[in-house]
Amino acid sequence: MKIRGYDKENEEIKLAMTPMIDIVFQLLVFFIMTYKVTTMEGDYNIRMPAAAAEPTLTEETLEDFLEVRLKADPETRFLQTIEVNYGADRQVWNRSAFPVRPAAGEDLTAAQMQENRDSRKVFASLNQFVINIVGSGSSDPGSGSKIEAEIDADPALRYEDTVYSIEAISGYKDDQKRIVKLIEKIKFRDTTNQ
Amino acid sequence: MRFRRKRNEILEGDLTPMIDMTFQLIAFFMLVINFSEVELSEEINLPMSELARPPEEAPPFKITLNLKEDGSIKFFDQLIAGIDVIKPVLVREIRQANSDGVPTSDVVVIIRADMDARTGDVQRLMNKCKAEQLENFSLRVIERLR
Repeated sequence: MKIRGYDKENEEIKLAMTPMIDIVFQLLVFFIMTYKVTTMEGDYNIRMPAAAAEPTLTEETLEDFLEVRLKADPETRFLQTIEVNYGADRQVWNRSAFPVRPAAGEDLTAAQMQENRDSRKVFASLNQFVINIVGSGSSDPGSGSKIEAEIDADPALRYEDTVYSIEAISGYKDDQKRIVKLIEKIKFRDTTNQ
Repeated sequence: MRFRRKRNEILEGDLTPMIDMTFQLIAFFMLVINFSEVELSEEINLPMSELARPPEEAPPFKITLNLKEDGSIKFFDQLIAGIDVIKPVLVREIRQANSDGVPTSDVVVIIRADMDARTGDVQRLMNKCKAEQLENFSLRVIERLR
């Protein structure tokens, strides 16, 4: 009693899946291979116009000028001392400990981690000094200061320590993790003629 | 009779859930892929900082220089032996920027220097850029998570 036509309508329609799956897997493999986990990168902006003549320091401008001298340890090239000159105020901090780098594939011990924390105290001192002078100069520390900072770094100094110093001068994070800006105008000492 | 027919049937698994998942994965990886990072060299260990934030708007024209610990510079795939021979690259990039309608003073030089590089090298590199009338610099750091 079977009629051919009915049989055909009841048949399932089958798509050829194989080529599609082939391509889809190719795509998947490509995207997985090109995927890389990246951490957020940020910038410190430094403006250094070449044409601007060095402003001569007078009694008035001296108040807005902070000089930061970074001296490196000749052997390790880590930062050794920070000297700041602000108006008549002069301060020098010595670093109490140098940071320890873990060997490849090893983790730092608790003692070494403490040492690394101690090694960053010198930047906290610099940060506190800048908070004091900026706080005394303007009532609203959030807006950044008109004070200009010039960094005179030892050429051999590890760049990492220069960045930590810039960080300490430029601001800090308050209790609510908000960034409070201190000095925004930061530049390096002109070394073109050296 | 019934027995025979079963043996001739092709066994087929249900592929629908697998294809669903695979498309989800492809969509995810397509969204996270980022082709703008080709100029960032992976050999550089950037210094870490808590305060640096990614720029709010992209600069009109940027020159990304990767300064390695030994003082050589990586610019895209090109390895430049030293800071003293960077000038041709800068001149070429500035010409490119100017032809795009960006004045030299608006070009941003992004310096991705290794944390163990010499600060003097970074300064020398900046001086070289200054000699070409470039004046905006960004020191690139990586965000430190506490």
